[in-house]
Amino acid sequence: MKQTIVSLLLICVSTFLTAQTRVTGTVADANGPLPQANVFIDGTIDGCLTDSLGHFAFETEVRDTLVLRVSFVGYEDQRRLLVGGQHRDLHIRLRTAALPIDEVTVTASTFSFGQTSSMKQLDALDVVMTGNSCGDVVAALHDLPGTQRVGEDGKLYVRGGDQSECQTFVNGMHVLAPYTTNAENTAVRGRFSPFLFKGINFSLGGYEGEYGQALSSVLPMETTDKAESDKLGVSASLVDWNAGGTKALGTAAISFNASYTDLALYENLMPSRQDWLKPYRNLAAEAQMKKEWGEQTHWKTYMSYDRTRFRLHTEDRPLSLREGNLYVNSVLRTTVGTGCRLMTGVAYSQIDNAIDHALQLGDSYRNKREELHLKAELSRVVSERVKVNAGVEDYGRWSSKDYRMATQDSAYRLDYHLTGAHLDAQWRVWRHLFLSTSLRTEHLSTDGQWIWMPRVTLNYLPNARLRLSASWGRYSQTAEDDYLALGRGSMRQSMADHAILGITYRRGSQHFRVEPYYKRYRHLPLYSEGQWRATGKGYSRGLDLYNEGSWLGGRLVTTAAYSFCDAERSYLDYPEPSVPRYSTRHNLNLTARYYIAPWRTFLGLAESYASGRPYHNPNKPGYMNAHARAFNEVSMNLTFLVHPKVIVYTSMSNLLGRRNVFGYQYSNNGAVGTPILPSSDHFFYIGVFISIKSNKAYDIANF
Amino acid sequence: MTSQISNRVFALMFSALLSVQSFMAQTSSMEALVGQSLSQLQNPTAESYVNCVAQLQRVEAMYPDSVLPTYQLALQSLVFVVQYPADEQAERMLHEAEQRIARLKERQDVDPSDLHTLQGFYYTDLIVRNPALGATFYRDALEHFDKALRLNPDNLLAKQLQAQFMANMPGNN
Repeated sequence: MKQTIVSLLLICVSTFLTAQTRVTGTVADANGPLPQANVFIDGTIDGCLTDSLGHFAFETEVRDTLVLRVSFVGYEDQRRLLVGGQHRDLHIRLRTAALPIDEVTVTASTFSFGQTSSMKQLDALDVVMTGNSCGDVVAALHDLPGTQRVGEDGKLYVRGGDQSECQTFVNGMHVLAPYTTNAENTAVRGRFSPFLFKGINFSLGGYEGEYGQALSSVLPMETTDKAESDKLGVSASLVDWNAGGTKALGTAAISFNASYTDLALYENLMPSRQDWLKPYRNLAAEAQMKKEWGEQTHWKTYMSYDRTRFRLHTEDRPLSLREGNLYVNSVLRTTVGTGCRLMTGVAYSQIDNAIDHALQLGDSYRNKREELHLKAELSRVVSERVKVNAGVEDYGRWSSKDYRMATQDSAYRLDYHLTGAHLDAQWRVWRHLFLSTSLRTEHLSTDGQWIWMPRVTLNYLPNARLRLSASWGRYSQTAEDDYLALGRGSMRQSMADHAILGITYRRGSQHFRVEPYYKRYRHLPLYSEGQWRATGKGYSRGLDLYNEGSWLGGRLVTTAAYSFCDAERSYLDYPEPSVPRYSTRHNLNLTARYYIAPWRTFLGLAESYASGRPYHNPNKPGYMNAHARAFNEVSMNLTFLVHPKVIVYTSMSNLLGRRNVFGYQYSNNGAVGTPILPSSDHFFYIGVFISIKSNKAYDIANF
Repeated sequence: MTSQISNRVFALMFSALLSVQSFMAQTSSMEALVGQSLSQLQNPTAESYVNCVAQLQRVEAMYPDSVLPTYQLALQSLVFVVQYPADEQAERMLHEAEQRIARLKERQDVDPSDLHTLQGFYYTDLIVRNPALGATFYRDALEHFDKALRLNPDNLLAKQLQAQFMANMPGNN
């Protein structure tokens, strides 16, 4: 009997000891059940994954009090305290995770190519292979909403602003002359190869306090990191020839690239409308030095120099141009203290321009511009809720112009400084609500005034797919040197206020963006009553729509961008408030890029449409009183990945051969109107890029 | 006095020994759990990878200050993607790996060579998932493998991944 009782007790005890708690239930989010969520007992590995209906069921040896934890990527972990007994039919609801403050970009109106906060999403190569870029970053950006086609110079005109209002920054440092020079009515190219950069950001407005001296938009680009192995590459096309390489030296790397561009061969094959006496030639050299001290300290230096020459017969004179363009940039980024990032940089630009017979036979034009940009930035993630960024910078500018002709001479010398400082703070106001506040101040030595520019952006990110933003900010820019000189000290900084609303929606491989905006300009240079003053003003308002989609398993990528722009200004020599001559009301850009896997070939197609450009017809009442016919262009490019070491890129603009007219220029008596036409209706490019020494594939850059 | 000092030294040594033992017990327990999770991959299937990654997440939650579970979680997620690129879980696994790599980047005690290996592997996965991205990410993948091997020339995983990457590159196979 005694033995039986002991046995029964032992059985009871062992049953009690091995008794397991059964946990069952369902996991869901706001849209329904969540399959593959990880449900487990905190502090153990007891658990399971939810099934396709969000159900889970498992047993654990933990009894009495246990903490159930549910996790799923992109959602906040959910913990639930369970006390005693069995736990059946639990209903767990997960909330989408709020983004960490350092992963939130609270800049409105920005398109980013390249590095995001964690991993790279897109590459410069993607930019180049889309549309009709011919390997030019600036041309590729014309496929984005908010940009306007001004075919006769090819520069970036953004949301009703002129080309001088868009500023380029390399590694955070300003570039005074980001374009190459070319003849009249010929689209210029950006000076920088897209393959120099790992990240390209293009902000159409509402940018933070770091960026000053840009009324409309900024184009910050970040050069690639230090190369890990040696490289040597060459490329050749009908118009340019390149050679360059990189020597990797452990924690440092040195790169060099030389290129020569000559339009003579191309002009022989496909003559343009220009009457060249000596076709366009450009000799350029670039060098980079990069050094790393550990993972946190990086030093990058970039240098480039190019010389451009051409002679052409225009009207009744042999115009001759020579230009030298130097740009040097050195930036150090490091960590100081605990988690504080420091950036210091210096950049120097020099452009030396000489034109003979510029406006009439026998005249001589000399223009030299220099800029020294010094900058220091400090940024820190203070807490999970606050990130701050502060910086100071100084622009020293020196400019001289000398124009001599038979009847009269004119010349000026300019020497001025612009000092700026800013403080930015990004706050997580609430789980999904982020606020960016910024204050920038600038002092221009010519007018002795300090100006203060507050900027604020509110972002609401209710989930990973949707972003709503509202942004307001004040921006400034000194007038171009010619107007500063003509203003004789009275030309204060031009100002613009941006107000932008934005909706961005991502679903799967589809990305939609809607952005209405309003910009108000003040203190623009204006010629009135025989004097140049900063009394011009204007506005620009519009709507940008954008869709990017990926189809057929990622092999087909399409973009559609539409911009409506209504702009009016009284500036420069406009006698009355008018639509600027570069502004077009309706702009549409469609692109498609398809990857033909068996041939390892990318096929790109692009369609660009812009409603007619305004121009002034002296035979009609009013100013800017007529419109040219609409601009339309269909372009195509093909990129053949012939071999990991060989890429062939080819591109053809204006396939349909449409004769686009950018406006009309009238004779002094108004009798004859001459259409402003591009220098050629088509541009054909074919280039071969060869890696002679590299362990990389499809690594076009010689850098 | 001498005995007092000896006692204190002894007490300190004893407490240090206890701490080390406790740390070792924790470490070995953590390693055992990681090993137990990985043991599910002896006969690997898509399901076993998913379960392994889920179990590694639980181990990671138990030892949030340890590198190993997070590293293994990222690594096995990436292995899953390269093995089953078309699986419906591949996108989530890629996201898991991206999150873990970002987390490891913020830590001071991670071997930088291992971190660059994971990053090179991540770009490899992007290419495997969508070969159209190849031209975009080849350079990044190889650059990270190169850097991993410069920092640690004996990094076997980096060597293997780099070799496999080169062998499977279009035009080389």
